[in-house]
Amino acid sequence: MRSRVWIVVAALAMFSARAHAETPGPDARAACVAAMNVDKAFATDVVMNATKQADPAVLRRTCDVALGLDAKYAADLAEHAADLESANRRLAADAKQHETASDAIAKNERHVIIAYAAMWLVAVGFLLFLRQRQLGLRREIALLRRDLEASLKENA
Amino acid sequence: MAVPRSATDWMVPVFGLLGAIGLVVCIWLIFTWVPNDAVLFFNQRIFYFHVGHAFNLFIAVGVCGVSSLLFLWRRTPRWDDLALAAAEVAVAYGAVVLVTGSVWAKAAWDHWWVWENRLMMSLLLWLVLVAYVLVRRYAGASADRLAAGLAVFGTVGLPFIYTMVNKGDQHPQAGTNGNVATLTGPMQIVFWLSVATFFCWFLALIASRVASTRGERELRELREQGLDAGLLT
Amino acid sequence: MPAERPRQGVLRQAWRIAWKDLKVELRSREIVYTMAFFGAVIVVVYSFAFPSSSALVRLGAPGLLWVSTMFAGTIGLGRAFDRERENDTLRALMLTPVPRLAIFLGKGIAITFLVGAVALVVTPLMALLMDVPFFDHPGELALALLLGAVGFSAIGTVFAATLLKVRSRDVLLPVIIYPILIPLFAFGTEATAALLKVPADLDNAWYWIGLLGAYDAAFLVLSMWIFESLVIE
Repeated sequence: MRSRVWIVVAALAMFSARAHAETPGPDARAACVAAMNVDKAFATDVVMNATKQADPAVLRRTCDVALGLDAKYAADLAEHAADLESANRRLAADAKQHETASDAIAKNERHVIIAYAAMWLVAVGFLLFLRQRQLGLRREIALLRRDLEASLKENA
Repeated sequence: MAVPRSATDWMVPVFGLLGAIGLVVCIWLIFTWVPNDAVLFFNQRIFYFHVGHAFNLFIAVGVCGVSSLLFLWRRTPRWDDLALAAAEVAVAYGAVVLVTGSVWAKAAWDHWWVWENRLMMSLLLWLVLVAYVLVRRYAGASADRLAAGLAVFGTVGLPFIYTMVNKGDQHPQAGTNGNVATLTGPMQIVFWLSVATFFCWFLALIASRVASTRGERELRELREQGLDAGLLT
Repeated sequence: MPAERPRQGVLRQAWRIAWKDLKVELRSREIVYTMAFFGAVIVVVYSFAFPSSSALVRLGAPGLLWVSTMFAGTIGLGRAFDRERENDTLRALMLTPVPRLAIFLGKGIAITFLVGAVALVVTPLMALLMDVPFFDHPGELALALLLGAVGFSAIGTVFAATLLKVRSRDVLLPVIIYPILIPLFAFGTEATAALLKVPADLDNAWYWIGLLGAYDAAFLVLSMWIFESLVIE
C-alpha cells in the first residue's frame, strides 16, 4: 500500500518537472523572439528544428496550403519526384550491370573457348601439313616406280 | 641412321595415343576438378595449355639447337633431320603459345598484345624459328648449313634474352600467388599432367616428321642411284 | 707454309686482310659514302615520321639511332660481300694458306670499321636534326656503339659469307640476322636511353653496356668456331 503511494508521488514529481521545462516563462519567450528578429540565421535554425520535430500530418497540411497558394511549387515538386525516381532506376541498372560483369569475369567462357579452339586449330593444321608431306612422298615414290618400270621395259 | 627405323615406327602410335588420352583427361580435369583462381577466375584455365605448350616449346628449341650443333660438327644428316623436325614442331607450339597467350591477355588485361618483355621474348624466339623454316625452304643447296647456324645462334642468344626479361618482368604469373611452384594441389597436378601430355604429343609429331624427312632423303638417294646406274633418265 | 718465312700470327694475318679490304674501300669509297647517305636519309625520314620537338622524339631517339645504324650496316654488309662475289675473290682468299679464323676476323674488322663510320655520321646528324643530347656522355655512347658494331659484324660476316652463293641472299640476309641481332639492338637501345635520361642513369647504362659486351664475347667465340663449318667453298 505504502509503495503505491510512493510511486504516485514520484510520478507527480516527474510530471511537474517536465511541465516546468516545457513552458518557459514569458520573459524567456520574449528574449527568444527578440533574438530571432535580430539574428536571421538563428531564426532559420529554430524553424528548421521545429520542422524536424513536427508532426508529419501537420506538415502535410501546411504543404497542401502552400501548394494551393503557389502553382510553380507544385510543378517543382513533381519534377523533384521524377528526378528521385530516375536516380533510383539508374542505381538499380548499375547494380545489375556490375552483377553481370562480375559474372562474366568469373566465367569468361568466350575467351577460354577461343584459346582452346586456337590450340586445336594449330594442332590440326600441323597434322594436315604432315599429311601433305606424306602425300608428296607417296607421289614421289609412284613417280620413281613408274620411271623404273619404264626403263626396265626398255632394257628388256 | 641414328634412331633405328623401328623407333619412329613405334613412337608415333604410342606417344600419339598417350597424348590423345592425356588431352582428354586434361580437359576433363581442367573443367571439372580444378578450382577457379582467386583473382583471374575462369580464364586462368587457359594457363594449363598455354604454359604447357611454352615448356615444350623450350624443349623443342633446345633439341633443335643441340642437334644443329651436332650436325655442324659431325655432318651427319640424321641430326639435320631431327633439327628440322624440332624446328617445325617448335613453330607450331610457338604459335599455340602466342595465340593462347594473346587470347588470355584479352581476357585478363583487355589487350590482345602488350609490349612487355616476356611477350617480346616469345615473339623473338618464334621469329627465329620462322626464319629457320624460311631458310630451309628458300636457301637452296646450303640451306641445311645456314639453318643450322641460325639455330645455334638463336639458342645461344636465349640466355641473354632471358636476362633481359628477368630485369623487368611484369608478366602475369601462373596463379594469384606467383609462379608454378606456388600452385596448390589440383592446379599443380593438372599443370604437370598437361606438360607431360604435350611432351608425348611433341614426341609423336617429331617422330612422324623425322620419318617423313628421312623418307624424302632416301627417295632422293634412290633416284640418284638409279641415275648413276643408268636405269633412270 | 714455307719454312724460311716465320709463321705470322692469326691476328696479324687478319689485320692484313682487313687492311686490304679497307684499302679497296678507300680507293672507291663506294660503300662508306652510300652507307652514310642511306643512314642520313633514314634519319631524315624518321624526323618526318615523328612530330619533332615533342617528347616522343626524345623517347624514340635511342631506338632510331640503333635502327638507322643497323639498316645502313646491312646495306654495307651486303655490298661488301657482293664485291667478293663479283670476281669470286672469297674463294681465292680461301685457297690461300691462311687459317679460316684469320679470314673471318679480317672481314669482321673491315665491316666493324664500316659500321663505325656510319655511326660517326648518323649520331651527330640525329643530335642536330632531332635535338637529342647524345654528346652528354660521349665515352659511354661510343663504347656502346662500338660494341654494337662488333657484334653486328661478327654475326653479319658469318651469315653474309655463307649466303654468298645463295640466289635469294638479299632477302635472306636480314631474315637470318635480324632476329639474332634484336637482343643486341635492345641492349644498345636501353643503354642509350639510360644515358639520355635527365639526369643520366649511369648504373643502368653500364649494366646494359656490360650485357652488350657479354653478348659480343659469346657470339664472337661462336662465330669464330662456326665460320669454318658454315663457309665451305
